[in-house]
Amino acid sequence: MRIHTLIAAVAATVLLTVVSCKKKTDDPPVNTPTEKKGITLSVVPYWNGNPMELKKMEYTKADGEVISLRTWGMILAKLSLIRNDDSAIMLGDGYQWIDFASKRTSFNYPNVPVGDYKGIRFQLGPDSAINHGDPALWPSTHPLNGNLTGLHWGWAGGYIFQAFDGEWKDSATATQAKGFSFHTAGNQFRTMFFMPFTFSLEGTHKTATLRFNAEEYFKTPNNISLKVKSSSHSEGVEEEALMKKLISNASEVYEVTEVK
Amino acid sequence: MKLNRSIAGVLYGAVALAVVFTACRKDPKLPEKQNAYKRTYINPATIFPERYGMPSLPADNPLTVEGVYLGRMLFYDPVLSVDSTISCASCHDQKFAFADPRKQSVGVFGLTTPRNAPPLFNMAYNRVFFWDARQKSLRELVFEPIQAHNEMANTLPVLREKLKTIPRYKEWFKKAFDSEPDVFNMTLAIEQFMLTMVSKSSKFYDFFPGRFSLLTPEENLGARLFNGLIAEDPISGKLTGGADCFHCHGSLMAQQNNPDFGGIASNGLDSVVKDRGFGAISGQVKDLGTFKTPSLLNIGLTAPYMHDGRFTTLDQVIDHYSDHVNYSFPNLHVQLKVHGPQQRLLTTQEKSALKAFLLTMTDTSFINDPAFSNPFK
Repeated sequence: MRIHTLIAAVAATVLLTVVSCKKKTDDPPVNTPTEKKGITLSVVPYWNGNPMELKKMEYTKADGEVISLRTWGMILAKLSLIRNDDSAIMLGDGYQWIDFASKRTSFNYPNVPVGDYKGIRFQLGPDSAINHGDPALWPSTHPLNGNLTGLHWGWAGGYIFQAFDGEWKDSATATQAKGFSFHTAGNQFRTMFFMPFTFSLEGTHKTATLRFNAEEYFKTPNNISLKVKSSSHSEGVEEEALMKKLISNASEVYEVTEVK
Repeated sequence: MKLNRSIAGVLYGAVALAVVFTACRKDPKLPEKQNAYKRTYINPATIFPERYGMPSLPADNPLTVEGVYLGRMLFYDPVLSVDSTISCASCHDQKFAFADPRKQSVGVFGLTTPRNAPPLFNMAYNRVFFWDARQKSLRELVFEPIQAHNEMANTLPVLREKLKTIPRYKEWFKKAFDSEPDVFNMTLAIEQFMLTMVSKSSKFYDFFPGRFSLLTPEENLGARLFNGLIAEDPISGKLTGGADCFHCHGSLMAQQNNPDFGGIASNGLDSVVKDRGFGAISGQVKDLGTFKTPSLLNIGLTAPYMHDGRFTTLDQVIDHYSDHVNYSFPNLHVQLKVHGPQQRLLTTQEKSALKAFLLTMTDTSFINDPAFSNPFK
């Protein structure tokens, strides 16, 4: 009887030890609504169907003008995956800085709820309160840190939502290049984009490819002739009018091409 | 008997609980190495102002009182050069915001450098160093002047042995790094010292981001020119409006720090490439003749100007941007090129106002701060 009691007590102790030291395995079962998976957002710049490279290549616009790009950066806010029921799942804190010059184009989000989604949405430029807040108060690696991105006006006007600059020539045979510069800023040019694409986030880590069709900024529906005007900083009557045209061309720029 | 069984049960229970807790406990830590000297860590918030934001500091080189002091001694000590005549401070003088008033710096044996020595401040916020932006690490930067034939011309093994013979370095390397003097910890110490060199006090600092009431009428006009876009007059066709300095020198630090967005640029000094600059580093034709964009803080102290020190006065610098930009230079920065080939042509009054505003960026407390001064005096 004593031996039986001792055996039982030792067995109970061993069991208690094993149970108390075991890692938590009572996570929710697979495919419950709270399960999370990773997704990488990869932004790939194109010009007329070919991968676009800054500083190296020249590209011909629809009107024959030839450009080469030096910079192309943008600040996104409210970057989200949209569920089939229209609810939004924010990726990180929703802010992201894309910079084609330094090839900052791939962003990893490890904890996104699994489920069925119908597209990706973001806003070009932050909301007004953030836009006119202090850009130095964000952590040094945050997309809204002005010292990191350079996409801030300093003491007037807040963030530059998007900037692209470079050189242009009348034609491929012209020898002297001139400069062009388009900086989108100001609350009136804050724009929301939705890119439809149905996919299920489940199983393994997924990569969503966001194709950026740069040539569309210059042609559809408004031809942006650099000969007519080659810069806009979103300020002043003429510059605002040109920026409006440019931004209204943006609807064809962004496109989700695959999630796999 | 019953009592004995109860005692046995209690004892067993205690042993069982001990087994359970012992089994779950993490492995015991190895005893820490005995360190005779306890270093004093510096809270970065006491160095870097909230208005600049907290920079990305090297995680493997935390700021300590001892490390910074050692770095400061090394910065000012000519023992770093092969003939013990040249220190970092020989070409980076605190009086001039750690710039060199000479067009070209003079190293050992009277040899000169091809470029003007830039000022040193706010380096914790910079991502590239040297005029040609060839260096991304402060600690790696330190090795360059020490070994350059026309600066200190030393070798690292020789320097290490030299440092080992000096009692103060035996003492302070021990205090700062618990080590004998060595060149790697030497670079960490100098890195620490340079990280603390923050310029954060000036009329401009108080003005930013637009307290115009603090400025004189002339400075006020200068500020508006500095931060104003250049525009084309619809009637005359001439360029008017602002002077558009802010695209490359905006922000509270008066500097564009993103290398890909104006942080490395050409300002049209020449019509042809005379110094390859960043192009020699990147290997790209589009970068030939481009250089790191400097901060304009303390600009009133850091003459001569430009990578080659060609301008001796601030007036000459303003004249350049107003009247003499070489629009034919192929790699001219687009913010300048976009208006070419017409020059902005500031009036005499505008030039004077711009200069007055630039002089609000002088930080006299920085150049007089004993924390950055020569510890041997």
